[in-house]
Amino acid sequence: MSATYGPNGAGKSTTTKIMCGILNPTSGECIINGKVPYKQRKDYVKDIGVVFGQRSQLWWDVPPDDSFYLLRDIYKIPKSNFEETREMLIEKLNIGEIVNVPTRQLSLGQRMRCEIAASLIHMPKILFLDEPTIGLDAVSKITVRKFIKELNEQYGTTVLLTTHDMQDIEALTNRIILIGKGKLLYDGALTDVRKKYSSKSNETSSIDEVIAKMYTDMKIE
Amino acid sequence: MKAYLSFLKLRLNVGLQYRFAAIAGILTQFFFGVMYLFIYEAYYRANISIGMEWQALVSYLWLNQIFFYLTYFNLIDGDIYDSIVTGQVSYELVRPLSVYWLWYVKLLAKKIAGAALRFLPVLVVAMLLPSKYALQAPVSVAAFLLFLVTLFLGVILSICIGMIIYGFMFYTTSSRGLFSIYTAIADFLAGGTIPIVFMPPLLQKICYALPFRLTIDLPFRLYVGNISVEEGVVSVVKQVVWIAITMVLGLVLMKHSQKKLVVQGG
Amino acid sequence: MGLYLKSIWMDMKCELEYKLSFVFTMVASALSTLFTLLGTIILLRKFGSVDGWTISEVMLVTGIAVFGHVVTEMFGRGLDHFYKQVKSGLLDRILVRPRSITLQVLCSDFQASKIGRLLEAIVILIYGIATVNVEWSFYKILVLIMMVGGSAILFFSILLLKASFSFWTIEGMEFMNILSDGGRDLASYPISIYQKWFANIFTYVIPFGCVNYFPLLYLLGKGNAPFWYGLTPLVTLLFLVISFGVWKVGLASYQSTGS
Repeated sequence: MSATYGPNGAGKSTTTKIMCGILNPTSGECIINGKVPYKQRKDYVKDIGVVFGQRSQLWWDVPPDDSFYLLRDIYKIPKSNFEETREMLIEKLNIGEIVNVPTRQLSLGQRMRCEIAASLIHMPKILFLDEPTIGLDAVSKITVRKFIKELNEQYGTTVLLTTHDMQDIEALTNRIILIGKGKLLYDGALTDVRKKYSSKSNETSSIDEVIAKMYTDMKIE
Repeated sequence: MKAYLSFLKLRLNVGLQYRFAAIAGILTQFFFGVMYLFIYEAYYRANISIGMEWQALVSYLWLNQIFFYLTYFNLIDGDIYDSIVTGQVSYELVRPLSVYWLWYVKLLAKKIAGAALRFLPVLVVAMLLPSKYALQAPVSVAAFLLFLVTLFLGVILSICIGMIIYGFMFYTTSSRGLFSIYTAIADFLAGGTIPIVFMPPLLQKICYALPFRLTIDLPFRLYVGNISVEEGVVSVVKQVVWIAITMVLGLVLMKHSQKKLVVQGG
Repeated sequence: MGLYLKSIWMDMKCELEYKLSFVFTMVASALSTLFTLLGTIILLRKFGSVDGWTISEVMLVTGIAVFGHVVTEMFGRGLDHFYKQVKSGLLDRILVRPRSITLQVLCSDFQASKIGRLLEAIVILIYGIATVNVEWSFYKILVLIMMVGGSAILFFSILLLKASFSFWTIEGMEFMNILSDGGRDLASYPISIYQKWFANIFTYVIPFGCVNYFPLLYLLGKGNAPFWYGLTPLVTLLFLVISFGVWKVGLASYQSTGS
């Protein structure tokens, strides 16, 4: 599990889009799972799940469960696998009571849990999360984080997280990839960053302050 | 009053921002104008004398395109529509302004902004065309003045009627279709599809009994001299009466429906 | 195909969520065509004919145009509103799913409420066929089918072009309505009634004349039209291929700029 982090306009979302097969890179190459996403699009995207935090992939006027069934057809998931995954997701994300309510009537937190379920219904090997907790209340945030962690540990799903929320990163991962101005600036453990940049002034500085400092140090902003 | 004026100003500015859309709109207007001209030209080749001379018809068709944004009945406004559907309207009700007048001004501003951007280019081109297809000057100064008055009152009237439809929208949860139905009927009965003079007598009577024709048929036919100045003056009185009736109806309906406001989502 | 049918079912479910609105929308779409048609009928009754074409002939042509237009509106609504999908990022969602992009765009919206207008188109078409003065033969029936099919292909290609342009710009989409909605009104008369230059554009650039004028001449046996005039609706296939090419180029350009 790793997190991509960087200031606005650093290229996080472009990088994610290239990794999802949405965009072609101007130069360079990207190989994931032995495939080039933007060249073998259909073949590649079978194995990935994507959550765009600010956009819904559920059909707005029908219950999420109907969306799950349509996604089954889109991804051509075998019936038995589908039922199994569906039940697991409903249980783990605690959405049993809401999957039959039209999506438009759900709260943001409820909807996000259903979004994540929809992205995982085909049991992808890689899960891309783009701002998954944006706008969520504390309880929903914690449920979402807990689930993602479990998913990674139990099913070995690779998770790539793009976020502005440092708490997300702290709760989920230790590996952080920092990019800015189109360059890789840092790839390593979060704890190391913490040690390096917080010890200078005071021990208890928050993670946001640490990162801000790191930016100034690397002259990104 | 000042509050309404600043709303008007804001909406005008918003409307003026969409210049590219305006160019596309002008081209669309022009295309339809030319197309209808050619269709009518084909009909007129039969040389049968009917209710309107060729040159008068040409001017009527161009006026219809030029002032399309003023006279068109579809008053669907994204903001207002959304505010009803999402229940946002309850916030507007909290403000110390009448929702009826607030929306009225919004719609008026939208119409004026839309028309201000688009009418001039189409007007200029329509005048520069070869004379057979060109917009002619109004028949007389009196007719032109009456044209301006009736056009303005017609816009006021069409918004009054539109507000009644908005009043009904409070009762049904999702009703874009309601407006479309109204638009289709009103446009036909106003002479927007074909001039009313071409219609069979019974249909003409129906059109004359209803207020819709006072917004398109009346001003444009005054301009081309198909309606006399005397009849025009009488029609102005008709317009004022209809405005009064529809405005009162709209206000009553709005007041009544606010009480049974259906709030969605939230 | 299975997926497409399921998507249609899903869209219908969505639309039926708002039952009253569904009825309103259905009636509204039928009404606007009805009034346009009423206008045409009034004019035709008043003038007797238009440029030598009888009411039956005009109704046949109108039926072909309205039918082709409404069918693509029903099934190709996703293309019509594609610029909104580009704007809202829905296209990215489509790209991360393992299915054909074109199919997914078509699946994204199905307009069941257009059923009223479809029925209307069929009624006009039947009226035109029943009253028009044609000695039907097997080949002529085939020509008629090609005219109706060609009309649908043509309107579909226009929507595909409209969708393609949204890869480059999403503003001023109103302009493309000249070809879709305007095309329907325009092709509601045999293309020859228009001024020469205008008719030429809509025959040689956008081949409306190939579905509503040349084959009609053959059907009616007007002016010794040769039998191959009946085959001209096939030109629409060429137009479809070109539109599809533009669509592919647009998609590639989106993927390299991501604008």
